[in-house]
Amino acid sequence: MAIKKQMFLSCILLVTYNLIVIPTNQTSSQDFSFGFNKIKLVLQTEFVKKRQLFSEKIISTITFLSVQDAEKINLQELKIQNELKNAQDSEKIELKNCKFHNIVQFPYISTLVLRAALLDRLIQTKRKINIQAHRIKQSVFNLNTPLQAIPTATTDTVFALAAGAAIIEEIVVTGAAVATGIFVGSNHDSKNDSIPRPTAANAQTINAKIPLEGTSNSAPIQADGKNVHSSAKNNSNAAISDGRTKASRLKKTTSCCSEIKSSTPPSKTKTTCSAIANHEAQPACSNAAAFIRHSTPVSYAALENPHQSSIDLDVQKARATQAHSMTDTQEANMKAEGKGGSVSLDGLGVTFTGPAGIVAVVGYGLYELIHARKEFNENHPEYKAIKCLVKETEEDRKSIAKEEKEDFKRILQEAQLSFKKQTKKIKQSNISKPSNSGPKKGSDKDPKKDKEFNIRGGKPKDPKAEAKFLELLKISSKREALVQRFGKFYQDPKTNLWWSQDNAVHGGPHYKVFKETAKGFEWIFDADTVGQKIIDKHKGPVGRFIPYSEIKFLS
Amino acid sequence: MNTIGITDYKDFQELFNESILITGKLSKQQEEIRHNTWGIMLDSEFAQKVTLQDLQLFFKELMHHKSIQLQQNKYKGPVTVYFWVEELSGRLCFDILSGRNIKLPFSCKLNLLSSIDPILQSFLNINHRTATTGADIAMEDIKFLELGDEGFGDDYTVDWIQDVYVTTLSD
Repeated sequence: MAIKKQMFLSCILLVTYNLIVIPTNQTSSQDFSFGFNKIKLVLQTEFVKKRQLFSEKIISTITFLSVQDAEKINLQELKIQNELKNAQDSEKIELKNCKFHNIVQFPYISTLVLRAALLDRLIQTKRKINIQAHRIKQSVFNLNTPLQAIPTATTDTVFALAAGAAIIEEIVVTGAAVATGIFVGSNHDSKNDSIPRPTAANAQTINAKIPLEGTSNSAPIQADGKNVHSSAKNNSNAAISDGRTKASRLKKTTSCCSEIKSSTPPSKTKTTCSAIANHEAQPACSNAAAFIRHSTPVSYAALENPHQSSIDLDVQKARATQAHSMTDTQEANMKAEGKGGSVSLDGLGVTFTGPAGIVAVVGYGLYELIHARKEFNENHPEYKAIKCLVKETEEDRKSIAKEEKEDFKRILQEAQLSFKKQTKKIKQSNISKPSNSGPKKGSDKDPKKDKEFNIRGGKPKDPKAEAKFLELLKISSKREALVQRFGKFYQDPKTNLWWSQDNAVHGGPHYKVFKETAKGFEWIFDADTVGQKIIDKHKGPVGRFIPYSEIKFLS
Repeated sequence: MNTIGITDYKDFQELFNESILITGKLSKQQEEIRHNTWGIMLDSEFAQKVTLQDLQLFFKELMHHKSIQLQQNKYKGPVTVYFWVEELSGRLCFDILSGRNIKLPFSCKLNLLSSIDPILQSFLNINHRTATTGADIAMEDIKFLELGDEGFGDDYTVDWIQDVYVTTLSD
């Protein structure tokens, strides 16, 4: 398979919080075609169960194939040999049936799926994509708690945004925790040789310009045309650290919404940030986001306004300067002042503070993407603008919640079906053995009940399923909580409930399931080892009990 | 585990007459566990009122009633009753299993106590703390980890030692 072009993504740091892509309404791909659909993405990555490694690796091996080769590949059925080779049975199933929504349940598979789906969606949905930052209040709350609570970088999102910046017509980002800065590529024109193609040396310089604390941030990027070894992880940690420090210093809790529009003419670059919610603290709005047209090498905006709820800023009026090359980028320093707010565009050396943490995203490369977009823009002037709309109104929240609910139901059904199929298979394989251990005649066991509550301690009936459940629980959890006395808790990303293995293990292994509140964790029920709630007798009202009907299960 | 939420003193009484399943067979221990294990939760307001003496009285009453129940059912064999506090959920738990000197169905290490008082006191303390902090596990005790954080994805095992008070209701 001939590789026509290679793309580079590196030094991508983003502090955001559990972004989840929400599907927009699908439109037929027939009525929309643009240059970029000639390029498809294949992710070649090693399947690493440790997600922190995985996320790093996946970003280092993004390869774009030529049109001809790419067209042979169906993104929905990615054949990623390494993954399939190393994946366990259940994972293979998921990978084969990879659907967009599987990201919820199987993140480390879904990172692939997400990306594939993303690209697919970009092509199919008129390049529109919605990205939602989840748990806004939590993240805001967490900023007031010890520093450990700051969200970490999400490379998925970085990729989405980085890719999106080049090809997405509209990005809708919701949530206070979203503080994004994106730099995508250079203003390269392939026909213009006066501007050098991104090189390792350039990357190094760029990297060094990022003001990160407590890290050796100048790790070189090796742009060898195939792989990019980024120092994203190190830098990410440093950025987080920096963000924590700054967020802690500011001690603000905010929920911001901002609208960032970046259109092809730089004069129309516009940033709007408005705070709509305050949480136990003084009003504040601090957010940063920037998208800039493809010809601008630097794209960054930082807003911070503790006193006003709305900032309208025209970057151009504020004498924003645009750099036109990588070298210029280093010197680019754009400062602007709006109505009480401030934007600092310091080229790649961005100093950015805010309750949402620090964000420094430096995308490097994406030459082809940008070029493709350029082509597209020429042919489709109506889609020139890259619009990043961050909104968070009450209506939005409601509609999002509704969507999520419907989404969840569907996911739950799918997951349950999948789980049932798997357990059925396992059971069938067990049944095939001649056994004397079947239910005895006259046994007082209630088979229905046993089916429903099959684990009550003792030897597990289906150790395979149990191990899988635990594994899935760990994998699907994007957040973990460590309580020294009790051990680790894993958060189900869909229900936000926290699961912990029981320590005493009375009557057999099971889980304790907790609800997260502003004050901590509240136990709500016990679940068996395959994630089914253990429903026994319950007497008397206790406030902290959640009605069964409101409980959503992982499996 | 069956759960009872206690909002008032009279709620304790519900446990006294709750049926017991005693099979006398080790092979049916799981059924006994399912039927006879109870977890007592205190309502946060009520937890402020309850004293150690109240719980001691409850314990005595409970043992008395269970003895009567066993006698009424003409069960002749010994019965083991054990109490412990489930710290994660803040429940005072007890279970009744047939047999004497049986191996308790815990998978962790056990610290067998000679008196019920430390168990009751621990239960009270946990409930008082929960009422104060507003959560079973207070936020300050929780360290959140996210992708990229040190320790994220790592296993963390706790060598748990469970305090248990064991007594026997003999024939």
